[in-house]
Amino acid sequence: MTVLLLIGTAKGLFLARRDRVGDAWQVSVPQFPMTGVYAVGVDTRRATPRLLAAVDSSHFGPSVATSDDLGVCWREPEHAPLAFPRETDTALSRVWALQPGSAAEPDVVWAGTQPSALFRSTNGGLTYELVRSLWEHPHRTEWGEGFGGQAIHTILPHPTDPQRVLVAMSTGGVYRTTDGGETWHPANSGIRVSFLPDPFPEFGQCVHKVARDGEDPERLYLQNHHGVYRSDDDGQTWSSIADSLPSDFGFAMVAHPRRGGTAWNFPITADALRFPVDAKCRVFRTTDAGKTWTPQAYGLPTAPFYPSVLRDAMCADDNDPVGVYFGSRTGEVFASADEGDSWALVAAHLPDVLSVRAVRI
Amino acid sequence: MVTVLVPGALRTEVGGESKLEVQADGTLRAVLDEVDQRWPRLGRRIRDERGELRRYVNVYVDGEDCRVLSGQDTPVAGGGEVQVLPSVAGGSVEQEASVLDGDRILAENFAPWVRELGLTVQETGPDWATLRLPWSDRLAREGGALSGQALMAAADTATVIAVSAARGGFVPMTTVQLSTTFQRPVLGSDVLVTARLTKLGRTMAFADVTMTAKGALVAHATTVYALL
Repeated sequence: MTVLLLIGTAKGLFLARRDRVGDAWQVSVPQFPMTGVYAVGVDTRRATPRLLAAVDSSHFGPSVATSDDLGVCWREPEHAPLAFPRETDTALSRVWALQPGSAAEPDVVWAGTQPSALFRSTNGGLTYELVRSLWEHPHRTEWGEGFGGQAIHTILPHPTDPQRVLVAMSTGGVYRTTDGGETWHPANSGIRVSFLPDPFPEFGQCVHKVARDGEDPERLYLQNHHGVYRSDDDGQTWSSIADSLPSDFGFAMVAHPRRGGTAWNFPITADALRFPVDAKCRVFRTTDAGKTWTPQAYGLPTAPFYPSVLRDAMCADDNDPVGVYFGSRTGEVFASADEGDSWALVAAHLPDVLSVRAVRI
Repeated sequence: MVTVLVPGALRTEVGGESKLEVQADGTLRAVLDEVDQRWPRLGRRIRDERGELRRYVNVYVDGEDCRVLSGQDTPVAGGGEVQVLPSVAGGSVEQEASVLDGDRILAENFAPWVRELGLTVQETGPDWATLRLPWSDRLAREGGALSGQALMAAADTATVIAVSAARGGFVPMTTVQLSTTFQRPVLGSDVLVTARLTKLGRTMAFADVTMTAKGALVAHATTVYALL
């Protein structure tokens, strides 16, 4: 089964391809060289999956490109595919998330941006419109800014109910709509903040990533800026699942696409010490919805390992068994074809890995 | 008719052309508006959706950086030449993060009158920072040249940003000594102020600061700081 892995880096997009487990990965030359690719997306609702890439030139600004031939040709519309309306007096600084919508809305693609805003495409991700209801939310002026900037980086449409969408931002927290985007409400109940006097504010949490359970769409896993949480009610309340992790800091969170209770995480020591715990390259997996987490390191480097794994630099495909992938800030990419039990190198010496997504083709 | 010179990196947006002829006159803004109309893929890489020049794109009108002239209000005469060039800054994730942090440090940690100088962080590195002091008639002394006091404040501020860049964030500090030589008058142009740390200890920092206008050294300073 051929797998295509999109690897967004600080200096371009690489495409890695492998026809069978055990074969070597074929890694392309960089596409969009010298641009930061903070988000990649794959829309599998089409006969040929559509690839989406957020391409960010530090000179010439951000854009979104799409490919309908698995990355051979990319296109961008004549006019900016994603821009703030003139009256907002705001300029797009970066696209952080590209997320195909639910199955019920086959042409909807969502985009999350910096500054924190949500955009919606109704033509499969070619062009996008600002979701004004969230932009005009009274909390917006109070959303803060983390080290990486103020951005919506996570968008989780409900798989069966198009009225429900959940977004997460740093620093602002989780917001959700249950009426198709007309109104948005903070959904951070139970998520602790370590950098404000009130440990449980209504909003303002620096959420790093949220993943939706593959079996139970009401269940979510969340990596916070310190704190790992689970929700069993689509984000309305959260409780800690960090007890058996070696650290509650980190960026990535990936759920199994089908099997309930299974998710992966890459713990980092602490906010002030952004190295893997004990300088060990280890992924942690839970199969019981976060009650216990087990390290998975077979095949990963055994020498001290210092780079971080960023929020979108980990993903899973939908093979059986599921393939899991992650990339580091020092340009190594690893893949597991057996749900994390064993790992092998896809590529090394790439630029900083910012985003990865895998698709079976 | 105005000629727009397209840099190599953007020629794919205009079918490989290196020169475009634009029927617009008056101001640089009018020229760029016409570029937006006819070549939107090029236009949006020069200006953002607010119509502002992108931070790391430089536009020269008849050889002069429009930012030291009147920005997009700079007059462009018929037969004039507008050249678009990517700046040498930008290009890396780390650098960009540092630049943003630098401007924030400026906004949050300096006295109001220093902020009113309009200093911006152009670029930072592991042990250095470059700030731009924009020309303002308000900073000119009798005779029309930039006052030395403004240059000294800029040198002082640049050192704080350089130390912050080296330390990865703002740290409180106080100036112990600042010695400046003024070597050329500055008339009507911005000054680039580069502070380079010559020694950064646990409690003391030493820096060498050069100030240039139009490529020429106008002043030089050495500074000493106590880190608190």
